[in-house]
Amino acid sequence: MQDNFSSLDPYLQDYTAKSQKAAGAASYATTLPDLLTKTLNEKLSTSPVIGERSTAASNFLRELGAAPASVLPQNMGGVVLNPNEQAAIISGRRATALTPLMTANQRYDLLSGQIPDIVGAAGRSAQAQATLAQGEAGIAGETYKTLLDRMIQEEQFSLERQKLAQSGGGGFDNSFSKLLDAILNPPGGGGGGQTREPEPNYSPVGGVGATSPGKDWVFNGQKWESAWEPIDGGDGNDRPPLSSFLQP
Amino acid sequence: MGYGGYAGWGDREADADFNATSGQGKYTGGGGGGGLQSADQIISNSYQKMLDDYGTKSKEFDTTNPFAFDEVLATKRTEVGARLDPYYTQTLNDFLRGITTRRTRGAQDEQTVLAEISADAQNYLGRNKELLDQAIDSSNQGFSNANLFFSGARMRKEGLLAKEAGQKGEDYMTAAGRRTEEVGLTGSRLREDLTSQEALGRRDIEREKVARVETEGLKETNLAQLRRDLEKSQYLGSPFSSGSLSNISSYFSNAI
Repeated sequence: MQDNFSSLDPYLQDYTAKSQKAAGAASYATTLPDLLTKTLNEKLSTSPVIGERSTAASNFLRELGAAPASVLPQNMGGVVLNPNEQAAIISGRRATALTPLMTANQRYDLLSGQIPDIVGAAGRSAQAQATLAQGEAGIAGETYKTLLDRMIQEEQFSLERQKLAQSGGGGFDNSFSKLLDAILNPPGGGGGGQTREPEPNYSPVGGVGATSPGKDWVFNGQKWESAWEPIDGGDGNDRPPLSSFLQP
Repeated sequence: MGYGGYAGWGDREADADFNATSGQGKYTGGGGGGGLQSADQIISNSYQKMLDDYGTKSKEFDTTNPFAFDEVLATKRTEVGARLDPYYTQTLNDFLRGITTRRTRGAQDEQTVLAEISADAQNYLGRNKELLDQAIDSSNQGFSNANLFFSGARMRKEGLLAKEAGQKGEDYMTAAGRRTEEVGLTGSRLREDLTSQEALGRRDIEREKVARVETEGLKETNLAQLRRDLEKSQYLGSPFSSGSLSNISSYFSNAI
């Protein structure tokens, strides 16, 4: 009995691996915006634009205090300016010092303003990947559960059939019994486990698309290729095609 | 125990804060025991900590950099006054010089005219007397030729001539006196007008100076206030004043 269920191990492994991957992707999508924001802000803090802005700010603040003294007669060649002339010159000097700061601020704001865009785009991408991984994990889980349910039902039917046979009852056949047979006696298999039949060493009459007797191999016109499906990881831990369980 | 607001604090920080505030705002109830806090408690405590941090740093800055509006305004008023003083001193001096010049010239002109009137009167009276003497001589000669020198007619004629000459002299002196009075009145009115103009001019210049000093003093005080706010924002730092430098342009662009 244990051997029958072990034939579903590759599906369970696939389901587990995809669930873990989905959980990781969801976690990543949740933490990515904060991490990315922190990283990009740290990068921005070392940008030359920060120094430019600080220098411009210092110059402006210095000029803010120094401008009034610049209109005194001793600094204007002895010329005494009227209050309007003084105010115009003071404002002009301050505005001149403010201009570099405004442009530095614009550059800074441009750079810092891009951070939310980058974080937003990266967050949406990560969220999409997490959703995709969750979808794949869901499909793998549903596949595994479907097969498991059918196998359990077949086990129950098999027990019923054995009881009927022992009691002299008639035969019992349906698609689930075929499925069970397929699992118990896989094509080319050696009994309880799912083993791949040896690669044929002949050229098929059917040509391209012809299958081996156990349907574990497909001829592509030049050589035989495995019909088994690879499981994530690519470590050779492949599984039989789902169709092999449903063959008549 | 029960001061959940200190969750996440260092021991030294928590002790210092508790000693300073008696744990105000940190008490979350319960007997401690290391129970788990709910999410809203954690958020509330974190927010309270942020508010406390803000209050502490803000107080530090205000203590080190006090800002009394009236005192700053008084300082700025003095600074602006010193800056504008040369202009208003020059303006007032120019104005007073004009007044003084007009007053001096008015007095000189008055003296000149009075002297001319006096001289003209002297000349007139002298000439009038000469004409009288000539007329009397001529009259006497005529009466003498007619052997009427000692007659009453001659004496009467001489008296008439003297009376006529005296009348002309009086008329002239009356007119001269009126001109003298007129010149004196004009000079007096000019001096009164100049005195009034000087007072009004002084008042207007002083008023403009006071208004200008006050206006610019307030403007400079406002700038000092903005500058201090900016420095405070930088002192407080994130998260209380993020982007303080970004706002500096809009802070000052309307104030400079």
